[in-house]
Amino acid sequence: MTPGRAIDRFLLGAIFLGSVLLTWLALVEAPSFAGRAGFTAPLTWKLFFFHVPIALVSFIAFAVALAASIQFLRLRRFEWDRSAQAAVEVGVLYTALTLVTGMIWGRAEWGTPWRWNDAKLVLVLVLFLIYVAYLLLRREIPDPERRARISALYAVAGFASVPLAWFAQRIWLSFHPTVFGSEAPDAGIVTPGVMPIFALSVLVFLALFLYLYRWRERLLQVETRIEDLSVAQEVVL
Amino acid sequence: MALVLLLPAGAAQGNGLPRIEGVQALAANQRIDLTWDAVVHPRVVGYQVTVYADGVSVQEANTSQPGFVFHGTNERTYVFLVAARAEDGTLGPPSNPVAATPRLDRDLQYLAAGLIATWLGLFAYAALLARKEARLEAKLEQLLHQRMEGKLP
Repeated sequence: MTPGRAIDRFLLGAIFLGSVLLTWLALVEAPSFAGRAGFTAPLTWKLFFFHVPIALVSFIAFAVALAASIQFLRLRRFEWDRSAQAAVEVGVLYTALTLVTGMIWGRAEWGTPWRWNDAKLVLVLVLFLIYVAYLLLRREIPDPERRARISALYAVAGFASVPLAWFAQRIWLSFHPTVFGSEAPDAGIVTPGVMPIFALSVLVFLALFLYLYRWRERLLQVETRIEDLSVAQEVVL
Repeated sequence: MALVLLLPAGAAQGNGLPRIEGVQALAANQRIDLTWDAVVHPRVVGYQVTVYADGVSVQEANTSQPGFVFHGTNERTYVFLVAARAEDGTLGPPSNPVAATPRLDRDLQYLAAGLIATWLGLFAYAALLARKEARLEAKLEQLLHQRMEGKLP
């Protein structure tokens, strides 16, 4: 077994154990009723332990894509392009999960899954669509050099949507709870008993991101190798 | 149910302040989220929301945003009036009354749905990658075999 594969197996085992522990802690150990402003549904509020860390890691994924895209533009090495693509793909998955869990929470808490007059919700949806468009754009450009260059420029520009989505509820009208920061209106939810479960959740979803990201990157590497061999075959024929 | 609604204190008809339109109340567990159309008017600096239960005013709140979250008791009906507020405290005419009743609705099912969606989504993506990996490895093996046979450079 190569060292890379061994790391992946260790990571996968840790993620599995962490996921089981996290689900148990969130369902059983976390208080069943927060009773604080912004969180009134006695059980559904526990989605906080999944929704927020997943959203946080999705922003990290897009930051990884930004860094990799800048590296590609500097060095013109295709491994950075593959790295950006893998990070965006997993980031899009995480953002989709953020939207779905948020809509489920909203249905229980607000009585509706979506509010078009909520800046936070709309900006996260825009962020999601921007990165879906990144993946679609890649499929439309056959030339690898041009595809990598345009995608990198797009990823750098598209990252502007990340801080906007993150801080939206602090700037514009939003019913979305603001939990972190001493002045945050819903800061009361982060009690001492809640923080360790939240921290574990961030670790689990971050490790899961790393695992999926490395896996996707490896597959993209194989795809590139197949593309190269296929081109060579066409030349021979 | 007959409701006796009182105008917010200081409300005046015909003082030049606009009437609030588009008031909507969304009830959930122990809360009602109120929204209305924002007013653009040189004198308007905010809004006053007056909440009634059983014909009696139970809360008055000022807000600068065209939205307000009210926390109340489940299964009790609340009626809301919203008025534009000027800097000197003058209130515009109240909006049409809007009623809503908070209630707890399928809490456990929503939690279960959220958990299932999360783990299923991640598992589905991992399954997709595993399938892709198997297909790519087969293809790569085929191409490498062809190369060994001398069909490829």
